Amino acid sequence: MKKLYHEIRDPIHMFVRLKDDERKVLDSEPIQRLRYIHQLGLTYLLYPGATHKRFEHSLGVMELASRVFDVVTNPVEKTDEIKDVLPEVTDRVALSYWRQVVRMAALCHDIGHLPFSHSAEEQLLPEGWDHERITFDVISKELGSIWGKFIPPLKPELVAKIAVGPKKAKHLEFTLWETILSEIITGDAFGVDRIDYLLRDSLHVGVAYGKFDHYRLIDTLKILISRSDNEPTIGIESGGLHGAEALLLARYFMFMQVYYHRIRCIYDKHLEDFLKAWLPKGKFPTGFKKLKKYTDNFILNALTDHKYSKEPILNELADRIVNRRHFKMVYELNPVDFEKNNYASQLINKALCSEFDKGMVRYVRIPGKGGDVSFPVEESDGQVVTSLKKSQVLGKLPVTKVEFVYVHPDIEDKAKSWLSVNREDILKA
Amino acid sequence: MERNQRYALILTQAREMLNKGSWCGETHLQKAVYFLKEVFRAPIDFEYILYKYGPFSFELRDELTEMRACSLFDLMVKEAGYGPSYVPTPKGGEFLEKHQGTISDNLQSIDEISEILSDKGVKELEGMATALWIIRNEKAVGQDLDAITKKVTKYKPQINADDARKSAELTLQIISDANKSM
Repeated sequence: MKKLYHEIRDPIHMFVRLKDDERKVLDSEPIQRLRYIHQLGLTYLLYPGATHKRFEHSLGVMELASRVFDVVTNPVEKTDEIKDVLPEVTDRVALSYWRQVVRMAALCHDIGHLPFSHSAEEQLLPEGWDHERITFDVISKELGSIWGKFIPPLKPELVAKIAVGPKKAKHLEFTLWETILSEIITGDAFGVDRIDYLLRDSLHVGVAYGKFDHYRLIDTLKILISRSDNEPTIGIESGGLHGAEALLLARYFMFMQVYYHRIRCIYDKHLEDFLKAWLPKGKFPTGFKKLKKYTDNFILNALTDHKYSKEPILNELADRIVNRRHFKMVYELNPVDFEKNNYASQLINKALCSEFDKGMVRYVRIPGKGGDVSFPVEESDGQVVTSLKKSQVLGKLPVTKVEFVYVHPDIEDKAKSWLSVNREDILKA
Repeated sequence: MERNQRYALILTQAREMLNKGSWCGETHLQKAVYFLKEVFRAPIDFEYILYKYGPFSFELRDELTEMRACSLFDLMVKEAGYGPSYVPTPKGGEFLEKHQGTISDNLQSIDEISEILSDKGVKELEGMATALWIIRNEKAVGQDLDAITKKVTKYKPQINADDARKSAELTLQIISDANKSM
């Protein structure tokens, strides 16, 4: 007998279930390509367990998106005020359609990722492109024929829009309802993309920081209208506040310990250097037909080839990754230096570049992230307040930000001694 | 506009709005900077889209986060039901002292826009900024008050026709006054 549901084992969610027509999306080339894209890029060079791929993360995001959708659209919980601004929550037929849209948007939300989930998209893609724009195009064009076979058929642009969200699909208008649905996946505070990657990455990396009680948190999510902005957004019931605090703390620790680890950051930079030198015209293609062959396996093959090649530049760039001869950090921005000069790390980078060779110095600056700690919380009496009023923790959570300067291992000692003598003068500039 | 100039401009905008009694939450800052850009032609390159609370810039949101990371802003909660205010820290104040000269061309515009918007609540700001977005992006409406009002209620169904009209009127007046003074 033909199976109605397909079950896939998952280390975080136990089983992820898909219907027959959803399975066709899973089996498509753009989704299967994600089996060969590391979720955390080259992080496995420092955390050996971090070999998981975008594929299983996408399945996890779909699973969580369905759970969150069911919780936040439960009509029993909806006030008249919510029903007025979001009439969709009262229409069972429409809800079933939208649930399907959200599941597929969640499954496809990462299909435009570059190899190694590389973040240097400004450097490695033509102007105006990022992975979200590729994702949008692949969902709406490449997978266009699949959506028509769903019953009822799904509109490709809707799936694409919900997957990418208003921040990246700036050319499109989002209704309030579409904004809420997109928030389920991409939301800053409770987006399931974030919930899944924190849980999954911490499991594979082998750190406990990313764990939190996501079951409790999801059960308390709710569409709320706060007095301050008068618009619906996803918030929580007060019983979920500790779960939300744990999520935001997990995010902070994971960023500081894993995502912004100084060695991970320099490997990203080395990969960017290699790709700029190796790719035709230094850029990835944007059309899926050409992009699809660019998986991590393809790039790793090129790195290995060039490790043994006689071409000096590519050989040197590949060697830094393959033989783990990464540049060494000689400076990290700290509050004392920042107090003296808020361009401290840039000035130190510039000074090192002019004292030594520019090619021997690398600079990484990742601006502040994780700012949104304010979200609505519903009290037991129905009053909606801001999370910052309820929580002793959230307001004190620092914003994550790093700035590093590295040098070639051959000049590490020399650069460090030079910097210890000249640092104060540089910061006076 | 260079990073320190942008920081100085945003900090000054917040300081002036707070001095004039504004709540100065993120929505207030978002809309004030939008008016500064679109009406007073301040050289700010934040891109705005029509979002949940009217015109909204994700770039400005990221910049505010970065400014918190640099300890230039603190979030302060005043009343339970409302979102936090953006308050310049003592370090933000020192930063402004050092960089005041870099935004001298925009000081008068910041003062004017703070004067107009500081006593407005989020709902009014949403209506006014949406009206401005329509005027700037939908050329067909021109300066036609009825057409702008209709569009505001189309994009923001939660704003009733009377409030939308008031917002549109006020916005047209601000544009007209700014054009005279520039």
